[in-house]
Amino acid sequence: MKRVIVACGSGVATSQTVASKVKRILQEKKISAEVEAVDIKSLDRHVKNCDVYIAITKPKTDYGVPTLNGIAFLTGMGMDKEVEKLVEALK
Amino acid sequence: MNNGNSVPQFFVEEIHHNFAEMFQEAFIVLDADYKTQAEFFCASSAILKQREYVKPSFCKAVMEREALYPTGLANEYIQFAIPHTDAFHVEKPFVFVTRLKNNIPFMHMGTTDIPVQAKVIFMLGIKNPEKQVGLLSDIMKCFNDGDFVRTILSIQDTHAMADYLKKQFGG
Repeated sequence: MKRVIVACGSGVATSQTVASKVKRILQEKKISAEVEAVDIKSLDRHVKNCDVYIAITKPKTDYGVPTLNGIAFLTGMGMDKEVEKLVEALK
Repeated sequence: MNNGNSVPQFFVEEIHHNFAEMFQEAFIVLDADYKTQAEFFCASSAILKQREYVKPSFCKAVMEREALYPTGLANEYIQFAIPHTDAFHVEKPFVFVTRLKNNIPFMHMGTTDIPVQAKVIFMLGIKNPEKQVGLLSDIMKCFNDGDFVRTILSIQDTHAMADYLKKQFGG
């Protein structure tokens, strides 16, 4: 199964919120994927085996996986474009 | 949302949507005359600590996190911020609402160099991330609603503000 990770600074609010929204979007689009909110401190470990990385904080390096703008999912602004990229990456 | 066919069960999760009890009059400050983020964080944390909603470590923790991972946001109606920190520093869940007399700069979330001029601050005390996962999306929904923003900018006293917010976040 494809895997999506969402990371924010503390893993308590933003990443959880975005992960839950992404799950709902994928559910509506009937795309099967695992979505997990992770703490930025464990990002290096998780990013190795994921298909999409949704970043809330500015990515420090290029992790070699499709990286999406998590703030768009949080605020709804510019979200459609990020959803398109997400769908494309999970094909 | 669920149209009845082929949605795998494991995708369906219960999202809690009643956060009325996280708002209270004691944690609403209107037209506060803070000049800096530090002033805001110290004054608010002191109130929270006095009522035993946070550990003494909260103030430092939330300030450090804001510096590392900023929480400023902006939309067509308002510029605002949603500071928060690890659940470890929180004793009881809350949302501490501050409306500023003069805007204070916060960096935009996801950046380290794009400032927003926050007019309103919702500082979040997240104690159980699983239970409070709906809170932030509800806050986003509210701030994306022009009527909500106009109302919280115009309400005159903390009692009316607490009533209004409890109603808005009552699920």
